[in-house]
Amino acid sequence: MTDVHDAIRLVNEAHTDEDLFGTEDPHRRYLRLAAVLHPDRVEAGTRAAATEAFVTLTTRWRARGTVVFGGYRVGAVTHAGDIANLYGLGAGQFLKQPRRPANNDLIEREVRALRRIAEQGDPRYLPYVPRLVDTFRHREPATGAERRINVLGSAPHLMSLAEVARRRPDGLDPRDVAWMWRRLLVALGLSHRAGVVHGAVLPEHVLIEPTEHGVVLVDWCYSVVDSMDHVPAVVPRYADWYPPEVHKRQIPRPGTDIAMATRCMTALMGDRAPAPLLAFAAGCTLPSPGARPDDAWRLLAELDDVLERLYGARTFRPLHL
Amino acid sequence: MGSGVWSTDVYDAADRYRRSTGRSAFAYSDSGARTVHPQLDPRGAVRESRDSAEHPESISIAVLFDVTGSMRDVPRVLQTKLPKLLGLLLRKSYARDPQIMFGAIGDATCDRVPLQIGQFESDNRMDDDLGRIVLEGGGGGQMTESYELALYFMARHTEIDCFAKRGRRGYLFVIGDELAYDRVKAREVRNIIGDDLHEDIPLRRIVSEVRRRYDTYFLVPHGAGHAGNPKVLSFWRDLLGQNALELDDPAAVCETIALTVGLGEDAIDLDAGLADLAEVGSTVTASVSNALAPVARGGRVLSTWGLPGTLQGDDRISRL
Repeated sequence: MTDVHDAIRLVNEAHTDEDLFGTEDPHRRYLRLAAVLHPDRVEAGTRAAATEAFVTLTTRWRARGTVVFGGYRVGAVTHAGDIANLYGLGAGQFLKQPRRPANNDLIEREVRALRRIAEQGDPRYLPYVPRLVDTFRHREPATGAERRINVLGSAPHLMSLAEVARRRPDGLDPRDVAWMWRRLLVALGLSHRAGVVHGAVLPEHVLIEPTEHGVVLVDWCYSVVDSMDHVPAVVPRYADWYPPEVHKRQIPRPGTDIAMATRCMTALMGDRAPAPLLAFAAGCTLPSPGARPDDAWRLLAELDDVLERLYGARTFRPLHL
Repeated sequence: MGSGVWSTDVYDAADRYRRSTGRSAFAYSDSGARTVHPQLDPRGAVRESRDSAEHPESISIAVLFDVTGSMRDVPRVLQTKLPKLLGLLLRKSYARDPQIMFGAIGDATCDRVPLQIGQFESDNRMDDDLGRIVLEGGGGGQMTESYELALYFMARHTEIDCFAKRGRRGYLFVIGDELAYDRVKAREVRNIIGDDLHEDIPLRRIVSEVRRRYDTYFLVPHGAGHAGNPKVLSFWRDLLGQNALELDDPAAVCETIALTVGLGEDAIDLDAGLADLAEVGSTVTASVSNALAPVARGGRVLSTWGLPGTLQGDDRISRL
């Protein structure tokens, strides 16, 4: 296939990637077609048509293995969560689809929570939660099964606390945990002021940006807006991380999130936690919800106090994982 | 239950027959009955809305209305309006395989018939259920009815394929003009539905349970006793948000239901739906438009083949 007209026809008529690139050695086929169609190599008479085909060819090669879904170019599953699969869209955006349609209600909870925070939250702190880019319903033509799909955006290159813990099984220096703790309280302060309790502050749901010291609290599927109801579900492997009111199906309070966030932090430090921080944590995780702090902003000031007494004035401490 | 094809003609024939014999559509009630008709008795019952060869993609629609005295003639208005609008649902393809259930709500603290629940049907047999409803005319007099008991039944005693098989919620419309009690009382559940419940269930919990399976709306029709009372609407707004609707005209209840379903199924947008209503000669489009304008839409529906990758594998959560 060296004839430029054959190549143009092939590019214009190929329906699938297999039609265009073949199955034997797609990359080789791509390079050969590109060589034939390259604007520098064709004669003036066919240049316009060839250039157009060349652009189509290279675009399709780059998009190979992806499908267009709801206007998004979707690649492979990049993360399988407890209820949903996440497909990377690039630039920190993800498309989130529940595996079972019965969990649509949880995906809708995320929509309600993120909309509320975006509307009523302090705009300065919105980067601490994902941005709801889009939400729509997908219906499978064959079965009629309907799934609620969210498209979410946040800063790129994030890593969950679960991943951090895997990389540092011996615990993290409390000074590294300090900035995560402080920022996690900012995320909670933001959402609580907007009337939203997260309901599942767990290591998989707290993402960090190690170089810039960013924290993003994700997965708002278990959230409760305006004390409407109880937390709808728990992740069983973390059953003992939830404070008692969640299991009792009582309405969660800001103190519910604070207790779970604290648990994440003490787990991260492990044996390296100094006594004052452990005492501080104990005061945040009392079993009775009424005895726990319920204002994340005020608690942040208290935490700063403890940290300053322990380590002196704050300095930026790079984290290398 | 739930099989058969809706036929407006069959209803019309039944209605003509009723008129010629001088019997009201609420024949059972008007004949002096004061106990629940066996077909509508919630005791030990489970109401099912199933897919079938005839109706492969059933969608469940339940309409429960307050029949206590404060509702005045609203239940009767409802009954005369229903057949035309169910026809509308089908003719305009708002829903492909609707299965509809009617029921009635009273006050469990003082009524003899606090809960009456029909079957999900896809033909005019649902009208027979309507005819069996006992109109209470009682009510507590303290602006509270046992709506929570009806919600309990819907949450725990209905099985609907649209949700179980396809993740698509059914529709539940509760029409009333009062508040619910703040908890589902274990004693009432035992006596009326027959479940051996050991503790009361807070209202919010049962609302969140029912909303998982049903897109739930509360309609307050003007003309009912407490409709003008802002306390009623704000009570339901607090529970259901924008799904608590006010209706200027009780005759618009059925149009509102049909259109809400059409909007939810993404068969139509609001403007096109209102145009449809005008076309079939509805005079209540303004009421419907006012009521539905604030209802949050479910967003666009994408109907294509799925994503690459796998949807196999279960979830790893446990529901509370």
